[in-house]
Amino acid sequence: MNSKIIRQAALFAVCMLIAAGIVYLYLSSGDATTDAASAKEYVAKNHIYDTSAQNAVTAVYLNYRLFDTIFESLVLLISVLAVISLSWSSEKAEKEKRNE
Amino acid sequence: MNENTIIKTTAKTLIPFILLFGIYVIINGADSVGGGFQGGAILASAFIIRWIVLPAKDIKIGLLKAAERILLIALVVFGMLLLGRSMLMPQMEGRLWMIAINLLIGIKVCCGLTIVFYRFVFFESR
Repeated sequence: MNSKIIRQAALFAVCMLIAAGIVYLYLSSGDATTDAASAKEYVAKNHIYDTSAQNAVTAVYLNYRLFDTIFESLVLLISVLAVISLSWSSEKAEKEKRNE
Repeated sequence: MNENTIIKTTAKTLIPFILLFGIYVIINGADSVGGGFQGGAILASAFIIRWIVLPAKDIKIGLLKAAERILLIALVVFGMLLLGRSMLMPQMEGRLWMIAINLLIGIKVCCGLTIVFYRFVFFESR
């Protein structure tokens, strides 16, 4: 019982370190000033210069809004786990239900 | 010669092209339409075709689950490297970084969709 708690505490500490690293890197990046009227104009004008991608959609979801992409992958993983856990059944429980 | 031979031969010829097309869509995400999510769905369709042709339960779901979790952690750590691009990896090209992230996303989406399909199909007769 003790080793399981220690293992979970170590995993929790590693995840917290990664989260703290991400927050520090995000806060230490500078601010950007622009004179475009809206985000659409800014992306349409500068997306080739900022990122070396010719596709504007790729520049948005891989550079300007990278966090949304990471969380979207996390949601995909959570939905897969939900499907696995909700479709689980054991043969013994099925047989008992049929014999009643 | 039963009717399954035609489908098996067609699938055996088509699956390499499907995989090649999926990888092509993933890698060309920076220039034209495509990217990680679309290419991942195309890659997953190859596994679905294999089940339709030959329903055999010899696939390891545990391996796909572990691969998906490892890929998510790799995606988070690799994405973190961009925010500190000037600090940690100053020589990495923008184009190369996008191809790498798209590949990670694509394989992760393929694993996820394959797991969902096979979980539904394994418990089909209940």
